[in-house]
Amino acid sequence: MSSSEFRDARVLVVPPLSGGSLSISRYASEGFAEIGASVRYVDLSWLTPPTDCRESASDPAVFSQLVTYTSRLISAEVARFQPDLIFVLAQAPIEQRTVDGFRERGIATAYWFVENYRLTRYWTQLASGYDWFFTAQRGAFHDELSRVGCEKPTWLPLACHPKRHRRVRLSDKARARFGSDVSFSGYGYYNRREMFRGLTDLDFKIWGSGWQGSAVEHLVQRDGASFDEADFVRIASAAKIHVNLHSAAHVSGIDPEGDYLNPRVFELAACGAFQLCDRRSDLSSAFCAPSEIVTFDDIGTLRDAIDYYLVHHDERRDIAERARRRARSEHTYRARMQSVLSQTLGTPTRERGHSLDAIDGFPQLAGRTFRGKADVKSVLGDLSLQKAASDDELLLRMALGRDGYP
Amino acid sequence: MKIAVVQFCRLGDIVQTFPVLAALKRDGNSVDLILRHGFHDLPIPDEAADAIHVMPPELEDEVSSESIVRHLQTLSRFCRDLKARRFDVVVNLSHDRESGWLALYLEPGRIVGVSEGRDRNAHARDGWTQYLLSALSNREVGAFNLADVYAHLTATPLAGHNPELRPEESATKSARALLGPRRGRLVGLVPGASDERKRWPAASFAEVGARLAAEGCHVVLLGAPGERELADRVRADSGAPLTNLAGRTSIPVLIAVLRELDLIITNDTGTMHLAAGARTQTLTVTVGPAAVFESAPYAAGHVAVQPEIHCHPCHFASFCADTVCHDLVSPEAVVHLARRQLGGGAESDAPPDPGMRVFRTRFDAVGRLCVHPLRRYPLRAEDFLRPIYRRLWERSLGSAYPMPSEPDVAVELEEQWDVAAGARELERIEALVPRLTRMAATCRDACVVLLDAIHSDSGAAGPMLEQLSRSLLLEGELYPLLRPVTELTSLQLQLAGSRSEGQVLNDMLQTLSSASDRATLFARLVATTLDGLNSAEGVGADRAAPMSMSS
Repeated sequence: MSSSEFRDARVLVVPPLSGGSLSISRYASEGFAEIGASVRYVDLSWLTPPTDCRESASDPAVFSQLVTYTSRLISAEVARFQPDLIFVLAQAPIEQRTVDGFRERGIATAYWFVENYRLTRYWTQLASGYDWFFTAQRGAFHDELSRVGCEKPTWLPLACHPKRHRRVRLSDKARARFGSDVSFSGYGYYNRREMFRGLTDLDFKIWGSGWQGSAVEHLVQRDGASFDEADFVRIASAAKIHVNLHSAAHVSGIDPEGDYLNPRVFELAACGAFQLCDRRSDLSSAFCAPSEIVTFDDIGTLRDAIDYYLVHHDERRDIAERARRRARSEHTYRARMQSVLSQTLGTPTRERGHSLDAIDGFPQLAGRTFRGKADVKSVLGDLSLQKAASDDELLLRMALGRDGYP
Repeated sequence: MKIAVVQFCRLGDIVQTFPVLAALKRDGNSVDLILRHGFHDLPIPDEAADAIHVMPPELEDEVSSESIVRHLQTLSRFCRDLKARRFDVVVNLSHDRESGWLALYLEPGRIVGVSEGRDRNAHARDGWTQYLLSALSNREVGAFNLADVYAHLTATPLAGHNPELRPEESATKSARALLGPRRGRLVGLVPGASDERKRWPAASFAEVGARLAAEGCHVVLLGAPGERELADRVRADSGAPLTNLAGRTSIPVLIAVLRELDLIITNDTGTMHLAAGARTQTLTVTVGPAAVFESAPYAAGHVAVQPEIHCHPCHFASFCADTVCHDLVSPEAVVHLARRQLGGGAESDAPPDPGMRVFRTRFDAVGRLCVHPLRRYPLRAEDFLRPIYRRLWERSLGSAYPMPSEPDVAVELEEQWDVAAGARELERIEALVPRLTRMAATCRDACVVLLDAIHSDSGAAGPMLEQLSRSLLLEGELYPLLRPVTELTSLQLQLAGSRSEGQVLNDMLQTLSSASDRATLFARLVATTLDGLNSAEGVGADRAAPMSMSS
């Protein structure tokens, strides 16, 4: 399926309010746009509660009010934009009944669960509520999804955004600020706090939040402030070696069941950074180890690798370059979203349906998709289940003429 | 009152609606006319409507998803705008269900004519609507011109007025340019018709064209774009220099052409009705399912020829492999009548051709359009029953017109028909009286059972009513001349059955009670008429003078 066939596809992306998947939602949105689809990104970031009332805002009773509001907002955007596909990112604030409404109208709905399913359970509630449920993990997770009624779990790994994740030239000042022999960027999960105790003797900089009270807190830069994308690219370009240890809350080192690849794997690779990554079962599906990415199994093998590659500059550079090429050619959001469109919409948009505008059409049919006359008839069938014929039903019957006779 | 009139039928029916529109406006109502798609350029006389609304086109089978959405939005906007006009009454003169859905959608204070319910059942509450629906299959005894059915439906007498169709100056110029210099009396031929069975043969039209052209007439062929080829064939077969305008006129230009003509010879078509509106004489050949009593143009002095064959007019749904009726009307006879209408012939009466009957329209004392035979043709059972049915319906369903002091049916029949030649037909009629008496008794007995069921809540009514409905339909099959009453009662029972539960039994009771009264009245009218004819036997033929074409 070539991208030109999705030139007329209309995709509405629903991001979370904040968190790690917020940036992924933006990248996905840009990936859709690169293919040629029309994209509506429902930016909800302005609703993020300020830090000093975040606790109150996260109270379920308060938060549910917010979700009701955002759900209505999204509905209104759907009615205006008339998407073919609604693409929802993990943690997005949208009520299931709203999604149900979209599905009833024939709009394809997809959810991209980019979190570790072992650390949260909310996916059990929503996995069957979408037409397509994309996951960064597979195997056992898909087995569990089947058990909760999810019919179409589809593996969709994370990716890089080549225009954003790229090698940058740094000034001496920036190099001094962001550079180090070894760096790590990410949240201070338990296993990271524990393992990085063994790296405190190195020129090691840690970027990101969540490290308070840990033994490596003194290595954390900028008092544990979050870093933005621009800073990440600078860090990736400045440090000689990047450690990429996937999060785990229940082990002190690497997760023995570690499967999926976090976004850092792809982003670091795309920036041309040399990374040492903990061993993951999915790694071989994306990169070749050790020619593209070098792995470690524990603090011992991590230290050995750091020691080796800190002095073998050419090897380090060659491996990073190979990973860069691979990431930028294969593991992009554009490619991932192309796959999403192929699976969800399947056929070129000219054969797909168009849906009615709520503002200027049938109130009860807003967002319903019509691919042909048969769809109009099938909607009529749905409406006929109601006890009394609505105005929408009368209009549809009129439009169908003899075909609309009961 | 703000009235919307929905007319989703064909061109001819639309033009037959103009008289009732004008009458409604004359009574001080504001009238909006809603038409099906395709009639944008139909010039509606100002005296007939304040506003015209033409529906968006219907959804086609092969259509892109984008245009479906566009179509639905257009339809929605159109209907919402109409609804916003908040009509007091919607009068639906159509028979289809789409018009019923529109009537329901508009949510007026009252709906007259066919409507749909939110329960997805069709509704036709008033008697004249039920008549309109059942009359479609019983046109051999159709007692009213369609314009008068509309008058009864709306309880608005028409006073014999048919609004005049006046084309714009530009249409008249175009028409004259198309016609060219006049080469004699201008006669139009309309060989096409929407229904193939309504088409008198092209060869017959060609012969009429050739003869009239030979007599110095300027003959013009008219028709829709799809009839251009047919008109070409007529022209070629005639071997005469006929002017072929088929497919070359918009409706306004067609009206302008018609105004220029002295006569059109036509099948039963919309053009025939337009000609009447344009004040041009018509000579119609009504073959196949066309029925002169129902569809003659609403104006006096128009002539129609009908084949004399038992199966005419055929049912709209019937299939005919041998259209004998087409050949019963001869070109010679049509030319003869045309000459008379053009005022050039010496003959004063219809030709004595056993294969056909000729009729002329006129208004009666109260303004109803009647169709009178030009000769005293042998009486047929249908002719006997037609005036009886007219009285029956007006008395049982209510009349828009003041009830005239009509002559006895027997006198009317004696005046118009050769009763003596139809003696055997009277035997067929006599057989109906006991059937009607029995029908009245059966309906009365059913009322008793129903009353009992209402009081005792016994549930006995259901099977009894089902049985009654079946036996009524069977009676109609055995005695087709009674079908109008059996079908109407059966339809009423069916409609009553589809209403809300609490109302069903009461509605059925009313239906059966009026069915019994109607059958009694029917039997009495038949018996009285038979008695009248018997007592006048041998006298009528001498007493009644044949109608003259110039009367």
